[in-house]
Amino acid sequence: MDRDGRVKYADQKPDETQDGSRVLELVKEYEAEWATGRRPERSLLLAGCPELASVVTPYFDGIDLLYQEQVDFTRLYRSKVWTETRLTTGSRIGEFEIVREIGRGGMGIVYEAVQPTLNRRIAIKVLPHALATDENRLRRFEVEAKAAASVNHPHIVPVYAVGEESGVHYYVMRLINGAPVDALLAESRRPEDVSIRLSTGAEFDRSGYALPSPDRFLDQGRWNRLAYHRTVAKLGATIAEALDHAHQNGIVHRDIKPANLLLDDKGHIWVTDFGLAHFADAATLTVSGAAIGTLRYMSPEQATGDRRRLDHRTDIYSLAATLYELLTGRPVFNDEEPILLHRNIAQLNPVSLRTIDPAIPIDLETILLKGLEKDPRDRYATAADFADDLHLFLNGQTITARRASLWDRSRKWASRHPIVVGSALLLMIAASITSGTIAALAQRVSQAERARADEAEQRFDQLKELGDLMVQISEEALKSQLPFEGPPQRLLVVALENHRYLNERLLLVALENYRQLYAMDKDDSEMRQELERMSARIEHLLAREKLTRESWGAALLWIAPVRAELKLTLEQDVKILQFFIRHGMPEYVVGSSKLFTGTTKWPREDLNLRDQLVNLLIEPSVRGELIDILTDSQRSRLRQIFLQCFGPMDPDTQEKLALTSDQRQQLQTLLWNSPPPKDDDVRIGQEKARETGQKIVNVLTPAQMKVWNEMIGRPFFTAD
Amino acid sequence: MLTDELSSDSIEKLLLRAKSGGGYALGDLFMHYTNYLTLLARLQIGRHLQGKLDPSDVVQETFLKAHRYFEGFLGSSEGEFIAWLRRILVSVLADTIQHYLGARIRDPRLERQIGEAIDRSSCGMSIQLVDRGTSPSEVVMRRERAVLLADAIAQLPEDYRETVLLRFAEGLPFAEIANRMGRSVDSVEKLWLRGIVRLREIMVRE
Repeated sequence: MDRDGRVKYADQKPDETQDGSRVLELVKEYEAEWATGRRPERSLLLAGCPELASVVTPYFDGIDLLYQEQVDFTRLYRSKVWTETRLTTGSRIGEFEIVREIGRGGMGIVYEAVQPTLNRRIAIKVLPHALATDENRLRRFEVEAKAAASVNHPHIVPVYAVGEESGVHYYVMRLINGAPVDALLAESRRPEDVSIRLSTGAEFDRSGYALPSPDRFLDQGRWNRLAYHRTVAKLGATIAEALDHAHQNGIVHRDIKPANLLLDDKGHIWVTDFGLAHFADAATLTVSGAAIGTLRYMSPEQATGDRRRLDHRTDIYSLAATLYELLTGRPVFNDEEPILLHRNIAQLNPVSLRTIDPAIPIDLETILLKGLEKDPRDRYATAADFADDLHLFLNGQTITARRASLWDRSRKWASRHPIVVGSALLLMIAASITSGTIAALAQRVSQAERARADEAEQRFDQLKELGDLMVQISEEALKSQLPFEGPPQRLLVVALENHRYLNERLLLVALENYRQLYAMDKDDSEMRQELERMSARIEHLLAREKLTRESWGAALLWIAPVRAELKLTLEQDVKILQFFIRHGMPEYVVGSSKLFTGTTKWPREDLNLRDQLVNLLIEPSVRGELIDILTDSQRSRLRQIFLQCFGPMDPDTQEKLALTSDQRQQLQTLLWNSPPPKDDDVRIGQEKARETGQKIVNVLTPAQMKVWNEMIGRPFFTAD
Repeated sequence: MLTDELSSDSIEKLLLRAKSGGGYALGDLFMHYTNYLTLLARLQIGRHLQGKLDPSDVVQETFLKAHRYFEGFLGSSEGEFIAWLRRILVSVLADTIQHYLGARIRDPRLERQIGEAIDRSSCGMSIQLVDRGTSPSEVVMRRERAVLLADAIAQLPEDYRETVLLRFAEGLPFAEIANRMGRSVDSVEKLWLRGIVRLREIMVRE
């Protein structure tokens, strides 16, 4: 086995001396310290054996080379492997006898232990050595931990003792048999063979407040979403009450996250780790592997380091963030880079829950979004209020939270921009409609239009009825599952999510319908009033759509082939890249191989990214910043590409083409009925442009085609 | 190796020359990052396709692409150049790994994962671009150290290199390293110690 290397260097190194094993231990220890994220204190390590200092120094130096910040190749996501176990079964700390290790995290290792004097089993958390070398911290820890120990609440894990023995600081708690919620989350993300298990669907517990056991919790999450949503709400209410109790005692947790919530085998939920937050401050954690897990749940005021605003409401945010993840299966912010995460927590609005899962009740979403408000003043004033609203939701009563109404914003916008009457315009991306409902409706409308004049009255009534019916259907559907009042920028995601949002499109067709009725010049002021009212109710959708469309026009610059087509100078290309990065688009995506391979596909999972992009560009000033990078001719080419991708769906273009309403409807029908996006991508770019082009040819007259071809310039797609 | 003859200043001169069309300068330039990219590639391949892919092939392919797209590189500092190379490496890795796994398991997240992992593992550009508090020169110095370290690791005798990498880069316990290398725990621990001290010697020398 031995090779040259070994023999060659064997006898000239100090590790062959009798101190060899001691040296090895020291170097390992030194390495383990680095792994916890801190530069080790050499003098401390060498305190017991100063005579070895000169021998180990070269090794320590070598380790430093590897581990110094910024030369770190992989440690960030590997570090947990490195944490050397320091206590083994049977070893003692204080009066406690270690039984086994039951978990570890950024804040230390948790062991099950026995306290012989009281003959009971307890959990003991041993703080990382590296964290325990700072006097100030330690003092603060002791004060806080003792305060936490004084809190007595059925859902807060009781702290029995806080102690220190030969430099090892520990925290003794009641032993909970169960699972931390983060483990449940991880477990729930594991795919399971669907065919084996079937939903029971009926385990609906409206009155009781018992939580399921961890197993049942997982089952619910997988098979009975309705019950699961309620379970999460119950869990949230219980935790919020426990937090309120602590808050009233002047104790803020400051590190609420799934890992600090334990669900025991009897379905009892516990909050743990009060008073440990000082050990989890960002400075320490950003360098260790556990960091990101904790940073995800920190509040905006924590993320910005704004200590003035840091009060009990930070816990409300973190609890809301935890519940958000439990409900949607993904964190509020997904970034892996601490810096991006900090910034996004401070600045970005969370993706609304129902965008991810429309089955989540709207009231529950409203409650959580209130908990996740950036400004603590916009959250619940107390954790008790948070709990109360969750109870109201659970009891089917009206909750107190009101969502910050985007309706108002849309109205304001609409008043600044006169709404152009035109056909329903939502179709930025042609998504499929499987039922063909729209086609049928459109046909009925145009048939009706062609009906004879003496049937006008009857026709009007029919159409009105039809429109009313559609609005009614839509509203019912909206109530039950659509993020109707969601921010306008969600609309793109909404549009992309095809079938589910059929009803929103129905609504738009209804609007078109009302407009046509209005245009029929019916001399009935009452009816006109109602039509106006109905139109106004839906007009804001058009306003939202227009914003989204403009946003998309600019967002095309994200796509490599589009940038290539514009023949950007190198400088422009870099500016665009920098623009995206500056505005928080993740750099790895901006710079990834899409730049090189010209991929036009967008991973469907990456709703977040798409959302972020449209979110960003919906702001006119931001959009302007991007568009200003282009020259005039590039801008008009971009506009041409946009038209090629999405067709003549906006009112201006349709007017220029002098489309008849019949043609408009045909276009709608055609573009709406385009084949459904493939499973894993939403096609954009050249492919889309080609498809759209072919469809348009079928509808336009040769004269219109000529105008259209002038508008779109040379084909963007390559014929292949 | 090559890097020791060069300050980041002269790297920048090489960059300038390569940009003004000196094809050979680009080749020279690439040479300086072979070890660095090979190490990054190795770390990623390890996770996805142990033993089936040669990191140096991936690095070759990366250089080919980099050559082809060099016009698209607009930076002037070494830091920017490394970040640019790294992005290409990510794309090559994603393509290659995808190719190996076959279209059947086509996974659009792969590229993102690799990108994230590499960004994390080389801990550089993405932070630097948003963190305006760091001066460019500082960033360059740090990044260059990663390159130097990769070069130093490449110079270690094979056994040393293997233990140091398995421990440092893959985070394996000594027992596992011993297992993989077919040696005793005792001997890999010693190899590791010697590797570390040797690494230091190399770095100090340079």
